Amino acid sequence: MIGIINLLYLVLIIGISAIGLYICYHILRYSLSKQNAVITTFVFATLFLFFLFTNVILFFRIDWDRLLGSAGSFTSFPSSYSR
Amino acid sequence: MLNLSKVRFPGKHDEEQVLAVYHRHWFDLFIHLFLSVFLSVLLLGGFLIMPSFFPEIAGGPNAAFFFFLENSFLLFLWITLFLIWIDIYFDVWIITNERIVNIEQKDLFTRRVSELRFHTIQDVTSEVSGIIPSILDFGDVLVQTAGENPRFIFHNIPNPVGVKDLIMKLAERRGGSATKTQRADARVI
Repeated sequence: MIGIINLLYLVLIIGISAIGLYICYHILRYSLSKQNAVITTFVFATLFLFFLFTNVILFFRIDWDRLLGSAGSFTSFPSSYSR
Repeated sequence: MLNLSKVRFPGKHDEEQVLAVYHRHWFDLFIHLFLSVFLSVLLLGGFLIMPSFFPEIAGGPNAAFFFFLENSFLLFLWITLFLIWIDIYFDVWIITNERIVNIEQKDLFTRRVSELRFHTIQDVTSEVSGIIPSILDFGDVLVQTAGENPRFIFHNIPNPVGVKDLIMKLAERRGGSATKTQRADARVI
């Protein structure tokens, strides 16, 4: 299960990175002014990379075993109900 | 402020001078960004308020998952804001001493560039409709031409009357069909 989550997350991160790269390319390629293009790309890329790296760090800090286990206990009936 | 002498666009000739560049009015961008800005305010509010009501979410063993969700939301929001900005801001109308160039950004992967020579212009109309456009002075400028693309529209640009006057002046100078009578009519409007 955790392997599948990791795989899905990898696909998501690759997709998001591709979109981020394309946005940077788009701004640099099609801006009317080179100076504006550089400033805008810098602003976008700085926060984008910050969010992306913190996202990856936070993802690997999640205790999936515990989380999925606790989610399972929420969905099952408490033991007192089964009596 | 954009330096017109340094403006570059696809197909620009060496001796072509850029006279004016128009983007959509900031209010148009604001309307399109409103939902994303509203969501970001909600997110920020939730981020600050939720831990005080549910301390186990932000402080317990699931804290990493909570912050991961918050961070993912911020990441998607940041990308969405820029995709909307690109869609609006990269719609641009450039008036040069030779022609009018319209670069229209349909979405991230679709882009249309069309141009209009001044001698094909038949008449120019500016249109401001609605309370907010009237107060903030933005609207459409419609250029009627004799070419294949009969109408050339500047969408939601600031100062549409000034733009219309500029196009009329350039069209007359370049031998367009726009007559003095039409110019007088346009001024009455």
